Amino acid sequence: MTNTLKVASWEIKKNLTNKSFLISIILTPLMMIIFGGLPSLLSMLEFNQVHTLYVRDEIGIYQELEASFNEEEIKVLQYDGTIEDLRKEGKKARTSYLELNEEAMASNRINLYTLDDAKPNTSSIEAAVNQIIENRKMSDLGLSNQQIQELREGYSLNIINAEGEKEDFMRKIIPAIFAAIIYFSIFISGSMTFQSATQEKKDKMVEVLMSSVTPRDLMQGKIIGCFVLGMIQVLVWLAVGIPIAYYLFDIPVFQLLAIKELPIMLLFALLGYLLYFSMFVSLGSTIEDPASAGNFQGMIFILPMLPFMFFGPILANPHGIVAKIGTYFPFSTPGVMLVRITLANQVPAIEIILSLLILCVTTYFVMKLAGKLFKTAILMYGKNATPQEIMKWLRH
Amino acid sequence: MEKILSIDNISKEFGGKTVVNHISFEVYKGEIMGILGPNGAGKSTTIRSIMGIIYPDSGRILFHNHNSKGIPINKIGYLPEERGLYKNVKVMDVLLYLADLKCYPKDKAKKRILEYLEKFNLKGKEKVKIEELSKGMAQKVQFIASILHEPELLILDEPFSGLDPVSQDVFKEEIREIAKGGTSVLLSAHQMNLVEALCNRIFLINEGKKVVYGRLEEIKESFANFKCTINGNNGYNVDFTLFPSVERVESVDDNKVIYFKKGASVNEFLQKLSKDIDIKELHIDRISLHDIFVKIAKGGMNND
Repeated sequence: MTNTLKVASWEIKKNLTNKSFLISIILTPLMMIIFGGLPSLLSMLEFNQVHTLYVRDEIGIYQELEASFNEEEIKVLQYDGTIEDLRKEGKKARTSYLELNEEAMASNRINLYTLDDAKPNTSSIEAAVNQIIENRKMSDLGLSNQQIQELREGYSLNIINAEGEKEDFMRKIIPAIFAAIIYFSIFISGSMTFQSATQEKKDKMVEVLMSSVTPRDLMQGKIIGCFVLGMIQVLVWLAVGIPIAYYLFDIPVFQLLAIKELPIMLLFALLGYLLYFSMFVSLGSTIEDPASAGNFQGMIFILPMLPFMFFGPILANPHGIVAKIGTYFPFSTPGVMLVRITLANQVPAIEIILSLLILCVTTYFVMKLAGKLFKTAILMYGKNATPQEIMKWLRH
Repeated sequence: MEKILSIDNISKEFGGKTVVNHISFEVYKGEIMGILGPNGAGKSTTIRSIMGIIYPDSGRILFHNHNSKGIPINKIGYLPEERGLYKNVKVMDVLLYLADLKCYPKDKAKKRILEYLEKFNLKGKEKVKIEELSKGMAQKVQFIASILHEPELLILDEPFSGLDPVSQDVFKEEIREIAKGGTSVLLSAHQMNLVEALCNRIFLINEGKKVVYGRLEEIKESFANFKCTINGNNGYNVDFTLFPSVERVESVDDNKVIYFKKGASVNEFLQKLSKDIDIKELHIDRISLHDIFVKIAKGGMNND
């Protein structure tokens, strides 16, 4: 086994036996579920409560209005008194009062009084009232019920692309999510790579290691080790996510994954990994005390987020000028290409080849520079390196 | 004697300052060679150059038993001055990893680890994390890491710093035993008494240049003149400087330290001592390595 692999397997073993790493594997998806799902779950709890809507109806639409709502959501009651009368009755919790009269019709404004701070689903009330009044107006104009129904039928856009095929980026959404998970794990395991070099400096392990392995072996080992750890994280998440998708949402993940673009997507994600990890590990080696590290090294973590800037314009036009800039700027290539391949029916082969080439060459040079920086920086004790020092070492 | 390592005229500059200036020395099989000098003299730079951690600007470093150009890192053991091990890793795990990096067989390494832990009073600590050990214990573990793979050359940079006297003795004994077993030891240390007790030969370096190099006895003979310490109530009545062989005299209370000129005969001096002189105690010895070291550090001895 070469020293690179020995270092890599040590990194893997060290982290896999580390409780905080294991906890983070499980906690990260849990956090995502909690922060992603819990707010809507909680608001559903509130919306699912029955809301009582008292209606003072002077225009005669009460019956239709009552029929528009599910009684478990909004319970509509006819009321003849004023809002003051209702208040006097002391009815408050989840209660509103709707005033439908000629004045409101004339001014196109209908007042809804809430008796406490709990609001009903106002948009559904608004939609229901509007529909009933519109129907009535159309009926007054002499249209039959059938004609009104016909008028109400909406139209949806059916997008057919240049090749005459029906656009279906849904077929690529699962492979895209798959590649995105890999790309996203750069953020999570990236900081691990960064810390791995910093920690060795802090623990003063560097010189002992350097008496046995070359800086190149050490750096490569760290990159490979952290990559494998990142993949282990992804695998754990997929092992949880795929059965959930399969049984709960009925998505046949494996069948959907088998598209011809998947290998290219994975290639971009992997090259992104190599590019960013070599930067992380070399800059990690310039830091001895993370607590007092300047902003310079921290800024490197913004780089993988660069593609997010391009997302809006790419959604609008996956072949537009912004998409092209993002494609050929190597630090945004992996993320941008993942989005483009997903959204566009077909990204021209020449663009894929060219961007892969640029990415490969950049990754090669970044790794070389990173090796140079790592070699010098890892042996510098006592303080964090300044940007000027880093530039000097890179030029030297 | 069989040469293991030759340092041939190496120099190293850092930011325009020459840290190591054309130095050469050799290390022989089974000897303990001391590399001494004040702080910042260039010891660690020399050692790091041997380890290939940094590269000298000029000169050659030769490992005689190995034909290849590179450094036979698997055959060298190294205890750096900067002490440390992974903090949240178990003793056995970190030692096995370091042995593995030196391509030393795992089962053999495991056996030797347990033997050494017992020898260094760390029996049963193999499953303990480094951060739970005391500083001295962690230093012992690092020492074990440097000798575990049975190196041909063992480089120890300040191995005794931070150790209590008992642990110092344990290290001293172990270093002697390792050298007896045929391993060459290159030792950098500040504790002159330990260097005197351990080293066969020394290389004294100051401001990057060689000051003294050779067998310890020869160096002491050529550099260190005799001195005689007389304890007694002699006041100012006796003027020892009148003796032609005496260079100078230092008086502290009832003690008079008489420093002889180079090549002076101590016998002659003793024969000529007057019977009136009060002698409660009398020592004759050479100036210690410590005295030479201090003299060099204070700039009292010219380089080369």
